[in-house]
Amino acid sequence: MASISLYTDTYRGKTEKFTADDLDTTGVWYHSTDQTSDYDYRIDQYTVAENPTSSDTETHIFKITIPIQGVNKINDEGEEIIKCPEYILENTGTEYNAGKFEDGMFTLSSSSDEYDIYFNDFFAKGEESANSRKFETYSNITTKPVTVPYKAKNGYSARHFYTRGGWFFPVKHNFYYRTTAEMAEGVAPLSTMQGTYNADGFFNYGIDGKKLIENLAIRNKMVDNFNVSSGIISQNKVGKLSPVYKIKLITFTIPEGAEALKNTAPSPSSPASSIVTEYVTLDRSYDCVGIISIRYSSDGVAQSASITATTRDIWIGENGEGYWGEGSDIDGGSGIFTDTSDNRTADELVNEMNQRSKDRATDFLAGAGQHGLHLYTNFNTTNLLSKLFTKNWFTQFEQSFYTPLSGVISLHSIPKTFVGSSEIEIYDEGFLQDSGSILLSGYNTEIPATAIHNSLISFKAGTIDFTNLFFDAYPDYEPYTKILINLPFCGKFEITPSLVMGGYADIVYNINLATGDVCVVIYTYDREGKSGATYSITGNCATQYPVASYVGGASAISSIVSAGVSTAVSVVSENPLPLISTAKSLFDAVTTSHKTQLTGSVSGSPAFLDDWHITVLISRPVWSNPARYSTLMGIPSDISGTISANDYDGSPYTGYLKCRVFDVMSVSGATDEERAEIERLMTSGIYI
Amino acid sequence: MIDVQIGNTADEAVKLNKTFNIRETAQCEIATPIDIMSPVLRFSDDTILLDSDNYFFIPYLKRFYFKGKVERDGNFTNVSLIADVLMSFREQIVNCQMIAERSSNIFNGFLSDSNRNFLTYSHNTFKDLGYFTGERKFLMGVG
Repeated sequence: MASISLYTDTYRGKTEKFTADDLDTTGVWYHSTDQTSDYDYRIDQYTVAENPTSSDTETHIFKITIPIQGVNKINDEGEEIIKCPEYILENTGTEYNAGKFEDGMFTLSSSSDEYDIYFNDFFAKGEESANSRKFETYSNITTKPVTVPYKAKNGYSARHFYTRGGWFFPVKHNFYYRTTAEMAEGVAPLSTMQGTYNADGFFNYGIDGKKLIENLAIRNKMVDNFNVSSGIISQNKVGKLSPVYKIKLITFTIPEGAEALKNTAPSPSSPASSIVTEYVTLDRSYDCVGIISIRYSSDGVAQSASITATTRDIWIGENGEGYWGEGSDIDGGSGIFTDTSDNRTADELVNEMNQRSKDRATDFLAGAGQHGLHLYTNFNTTNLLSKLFTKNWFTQFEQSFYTPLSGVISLHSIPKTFVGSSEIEIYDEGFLQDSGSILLSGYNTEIPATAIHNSLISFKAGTIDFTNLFFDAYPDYEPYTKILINLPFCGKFEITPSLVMGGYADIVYNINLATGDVCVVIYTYDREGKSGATYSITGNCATQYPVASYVGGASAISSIVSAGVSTAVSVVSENPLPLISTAKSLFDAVTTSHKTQLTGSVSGSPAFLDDWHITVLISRPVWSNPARYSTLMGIPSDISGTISANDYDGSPYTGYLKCRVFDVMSVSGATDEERAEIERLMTSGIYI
Repeated sequence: MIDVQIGNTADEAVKLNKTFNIRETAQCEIATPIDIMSPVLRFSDDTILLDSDNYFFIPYLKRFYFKGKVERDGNFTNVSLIADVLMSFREQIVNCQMIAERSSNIFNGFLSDSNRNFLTYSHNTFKDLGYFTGERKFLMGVG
């Protein structure tokens, strides 16, 4: 059945299936989604294309059968007020008797006559006459322009005055356009364009008219791109629907013989005068579903209607939502999901880590005068060791009851300062801490020190700025550009350019003071501002020093006589501490009950020996640049359209062009062999 | 006998809009059945064909052709033509829907170009964000 879509927002929220009562006059129905033009078809039958939902944002679309009794205008009271073929027969005015029905068309006697064709109205050129008034009267419809169903942008819309009601003039047709504001002010149409109808019932604007429509459409911001194929306002395209917008045009031919028109439906007598209606909605948000073709058979019964071509596209909407549905690119379309990004920044990590460290401070580390685990700093190493390895026998005796050295878990050093855009103290007064004496297994060494309560520190070492793209093209990204970062204590690491190009990267160092463990977190911010922790690289920044283990107690005392202490010390890096040499000399002289053994080794991460600078290497390709490369070979395009107007910005292709796919079937009059050759050449590359 | 426009073009065979310099319009016979892709024209000696004549237009076929093989046959010259489908259907070709793969002026700079050659050396930029100083701080863990 012939069908056309009507739109309404009256029933938003309705969850039950629509009924005939709903579709009659209860709600307000429009011919276009912008709801500015009333519907003009009597609803005889309907099919619900989709059940309504409770969504307030959905537009309900229904397929409504077009009545076959001609085009009937329904007024606000629901009364039928016109049947065009019937009324036209009553015209006996001289002016409008200057034509005849012939070959299914009403032809004016003078081919040079020009008629401004309005919404079912006819005016004599330049002025009204009795006959034109009669037309106007009996049509009893306004001259309100009909809005094509598209979404206007930037507050503009253009009205296309087109014929409805059965007149098919092989004469000039004026196309008017005005902005919405101008229409409200009653400004006269600013421009006209003329074309002719062809035998197939299409209005052919010609090449100039085509350009005019396209230019004014783009200029008036109707759509981002606008194309009228082949100079014909409507064209049935088989296959994938390109993002081409066509103005709705409905024409009817008048059958031969005036009497036959009375009380009859339009009855084309030959295929050439078949009524063809092609309609493509310009509303890309929901129903850019393709072309609806309606063909009437000779007895006036709608024969077939179908959506001849639909397209499914994948694109990202302007709000970052993804689409896989009917429609096309840029904005609009049925968004299936919205993928918003929860951006997380490096500053958030730093603040959270440091706060977490403070909040958990006393969970693991005790205060200076308390028993428990301690992390001491700010102490005099020499004094401590001297106390531990004293010659004072009483002190040694005292210590033997505490085994103080057995309490030492680690002795290490970490970097003190990072110098970036500012100087950052790895450990500073901002830590939770208190002061007291070092307690070793309960033994008070009386050596002053600071006990740190929170051992984790996080700081942002710096930001790498990638906002200025080097090429602002594909070589800025992998695999062409490489980014290598040297991270002290961790090593060298490669990051993916697409995560940072057009954006930047923050380097965050998280250090465990107790162990020297380092975790570098790289936050990347891409060109769209999406950010998050992308890389984690671990290492260690501590240099460990020998930890003396006590071998004491009764067995130690008993073994004093044997004396001699074997030391096993291997120095890996840095100068040996006084501890080692001192201890050795001390041991040689020791005659106390202490028997100590140095175990372990001075060690540090191999990365410790690497560069202590955070450096970034950006390695970019250098391309060979032969002259006239783009002219002779072109540059990757992947943009659709026609040679005369691309879908991106409407401009024509020039120079070299190689097609991925070419719709050669549109070339009429060519043999199959010629079409094959055209397609071969277009996909091999030509020069325009 | 059919009319044929004889002339030349300096444009490449794969150029869509060629400049056709018509030297003369002559009459000739066309071999039948007509091979629309490769017709053969038979010129009498009344028609002078120059070596520079490399392009033809046959109004009867509404098509343009390149000159192919030229053979003498007694007092006639047989000229084999090769169809120039681009020029013959250019007005329709420019309005056919297509997806461009490569173009001189309408392109996307973020599509990789496999035809582009890069040199073996690269352009390197080093950035220094900062450094850890040599100073160290002692820490002792005690249990």
